[in-house]
Amino acid sequence: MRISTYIAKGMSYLANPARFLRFSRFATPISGWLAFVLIGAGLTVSLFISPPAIEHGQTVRIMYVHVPAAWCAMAAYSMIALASLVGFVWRHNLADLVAKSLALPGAAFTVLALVTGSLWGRPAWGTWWQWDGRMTSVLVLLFIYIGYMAIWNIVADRRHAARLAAILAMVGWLNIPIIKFSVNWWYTLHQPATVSEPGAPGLPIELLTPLLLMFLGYTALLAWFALRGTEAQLVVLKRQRDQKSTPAKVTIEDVAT
Amino acid sequence: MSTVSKILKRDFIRAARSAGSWAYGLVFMAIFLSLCAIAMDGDMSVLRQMGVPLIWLAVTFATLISVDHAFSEDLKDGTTGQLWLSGVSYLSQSVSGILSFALIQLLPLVLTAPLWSLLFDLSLQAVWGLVLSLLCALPGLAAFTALAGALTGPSSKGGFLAIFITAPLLVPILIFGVAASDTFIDRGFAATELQALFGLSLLALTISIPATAAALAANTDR
Repeated sequence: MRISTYIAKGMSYLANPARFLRFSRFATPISGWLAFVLIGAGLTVSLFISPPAIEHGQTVRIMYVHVPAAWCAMAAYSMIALASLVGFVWRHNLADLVAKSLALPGAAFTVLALVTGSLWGRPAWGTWWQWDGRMTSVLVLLFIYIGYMAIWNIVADRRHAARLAAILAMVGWLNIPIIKFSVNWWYTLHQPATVSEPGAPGLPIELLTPLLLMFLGYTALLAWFALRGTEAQLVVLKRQRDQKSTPAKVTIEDVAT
Repeated sequence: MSTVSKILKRDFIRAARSAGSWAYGLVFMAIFLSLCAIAMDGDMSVLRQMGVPLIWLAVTFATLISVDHAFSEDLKDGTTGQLWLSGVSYLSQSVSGILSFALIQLLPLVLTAPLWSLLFDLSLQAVWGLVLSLLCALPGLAAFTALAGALTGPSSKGGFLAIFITAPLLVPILIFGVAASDTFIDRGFAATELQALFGLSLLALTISIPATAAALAANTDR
């Protein structure tokens, strides 16, 4: 209860674009440097320090890139859906801009998760691609991202595009629970949750450390993308608003005489 | 006469006067399925296995192609706004639009499925499974496609965008649809896939009706 009030207060504080810019002026570099340092440390630990896994050997290192990418792909989409809901209900510009600026990084993380998953599948399962529940639904997520971005591209008026894109984002959110639980429903190749659920087998500490570092680093990177993208959109909007034509040099009297 | 049935009647009259443009989906299906059969060299042993998925695919593509018939004409010529001004809510426009899209565009595709299955030499039980699963999927297919039509309505590049939007939403229906058609052959009405498909389809309908109404509103009052 108390935490949710704090979140609501924080959100309504940031809802003002001027206050948002004041916040993002220091939050953007912080998240950017945090992402840089954490991903750097995570890559060092995962590539050089952590041991190869018993079953998978060296290929386990793909996991440190793959799992956080998949998490960020889903988190970005959920945030798009949430921001779309806020933007749709309260007709809030800033929420629309946050949703828009999350789309491209989200799609990129989805592609990264698919590609690294494919690279993992070859040595671990003996196939580049398999039509199992999770892979299919992540691929569908990529298509939804593409459709979402296509609406923003094709519809010219910004407010109009925001409303249409928000409707699609909210309907498309149905896919997220399907991705999350697909591994439990269609139990085929992809392994179920190892870390995040209570009672799950978990990972030994040597493998968990780099995974957590990468996980936090990716999340900071996603935050940086969202903040930086929103700042850029705000600047573009401001520029459009400030555009004034130069005053006329010839008046009607000049022409008449 | 209620508003919904009035709009339905208007849509039927318009379809009857449209010089057969409601049947383009059927023509597409005939061409697509014939090309598939020709591409597989007319080998019946292969075609018998591929029949059900190919007909499902043809129905899905024909649905996507006919997306222009859902709402876009009304949005382009301003009928949606006029109806709203005369007291017809977006919600009832959305319901009647989805209903008429399902009845005029999709029902012919489903009802002619037994005819197409002759091309693939399907067994009687397989044809029953196909038709029943298509009927179960009909509300979902119509709802998601009509939603895409309402979203992209007046835009000139809308048709292609609508296919972008609808295709990922139709994937679960396609998966469960083909599974339901296949399991019906062995287990008849005990096939849980058939129930799951119908549930999924109704869920899609439930979500799409308000979403379509919101899209109509967003495309009309700006």
